Amino acid sequence: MDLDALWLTFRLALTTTAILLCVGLPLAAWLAYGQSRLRPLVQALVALPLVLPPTVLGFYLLVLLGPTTAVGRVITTTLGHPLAFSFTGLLIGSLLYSLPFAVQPLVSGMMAIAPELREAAATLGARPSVVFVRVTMPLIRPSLLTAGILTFTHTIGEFGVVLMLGGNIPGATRTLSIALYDEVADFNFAAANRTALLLLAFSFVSLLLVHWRAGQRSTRLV
Amino acid sequence: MSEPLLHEHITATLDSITIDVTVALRSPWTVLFGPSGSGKSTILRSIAGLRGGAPAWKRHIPLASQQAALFPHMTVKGNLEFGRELPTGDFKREQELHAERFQDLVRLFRISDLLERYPAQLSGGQAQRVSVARALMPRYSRLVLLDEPFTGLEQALRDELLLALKQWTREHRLPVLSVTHDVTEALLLEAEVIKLREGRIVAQGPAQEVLAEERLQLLRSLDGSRTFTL
Repeated sequence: MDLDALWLTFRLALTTTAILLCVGLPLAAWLAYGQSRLRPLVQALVALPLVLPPTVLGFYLLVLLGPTTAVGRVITTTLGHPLAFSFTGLLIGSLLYSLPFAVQPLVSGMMAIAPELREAAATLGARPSVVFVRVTMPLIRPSLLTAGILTFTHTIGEFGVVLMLGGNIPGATRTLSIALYDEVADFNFAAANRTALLLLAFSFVSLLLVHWRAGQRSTRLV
Repeated sequence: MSEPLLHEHITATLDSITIDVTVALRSPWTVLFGPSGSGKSTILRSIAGLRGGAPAWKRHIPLASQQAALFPHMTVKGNLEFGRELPTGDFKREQELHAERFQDLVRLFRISDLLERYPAQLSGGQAQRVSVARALMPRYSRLVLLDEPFTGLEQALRDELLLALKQWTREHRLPVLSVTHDVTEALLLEAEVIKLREGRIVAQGPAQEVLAEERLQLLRSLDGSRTFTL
């Protein structure tokens, strides 16, 4: 078992999940409750990674973050090294790739809350931020958990984006799914089996958790 | 005539009707009376700030909607405490006034046994009482809106609650605008009545006058051989 890859994968998934939950909450609130005409556009953009081949996303990010674009050159000058083929580059890729898995459960959770509850809170004098913290957040707890688990699991399992953007640098960009690919390429099936089994068990248990929790609480009106 | 408590022009287009009214409240308790579909709830929602204009949370006009929208993740006590303002001046005095108001309303609505329960554990009538009590909790409200507050409660309890509530709001100088399609409720409250038909105000004045016709019909529909005073 490639322990470096395991640790790196775990670190990547945890960071991605933490950032995406922070970014996902306001974005989901905007999508669920906003009135803007731009909503369909943003919705489509958020959902895009669901259908886009990961290699396409990886390719464009590679180009964007590379030395041929202005953005890439600014980043390279600022950081002293290009983002592609680094952990940070990998993190950016993961954030985009897993975005819908964080945002969509949160949007559904928010839309499932009866509007009357938020209205009642507002007429009782609660400003929008208070309504969000005291009414919306507690009621979307199950969705928050689902979003967290899905984002984490999905990041653990990503392959195409990582391969395009991060390559296969042990300790820096080599994740478990890349390690598995390597092990098979080396005909090391015993090691491949251990890695694959770990990924399978982890994914299954995570989804089990999601479905176990689903439907335990309701936000219906009395 | 004295300066109205609230003066608001409301327009709305619903499926079947166009609402265009100017609501001017002068009496401590005003009843919006009209058949269902005449635009009563829409008017209340407009005044509460739920249909645009100044945002609801800045208006200080709590609304107890027809369907009790209690926060499912809070106990009855938590629901009642929700609208609690941050103390502005004398902290201790504010605490006392708040506790007093809480006890008053719990007694008035007879919900002392329900305080630790969650909304899912309440009957429809209990939830409705908690919802009205919650709307009355904020101390700095300009006005309270009650949308058919006690529909579904048995008549005797409803009448008792209404009269106690009328007394309490008068003592606390809290103006009320309530919605009903029940003649007896409007007459019982001796309130100012705004009579609504298809999105228009057709009459406004003391209940006895505005609802004279309805009152006669009601009396006729009761046993004609006896005389009633309503």
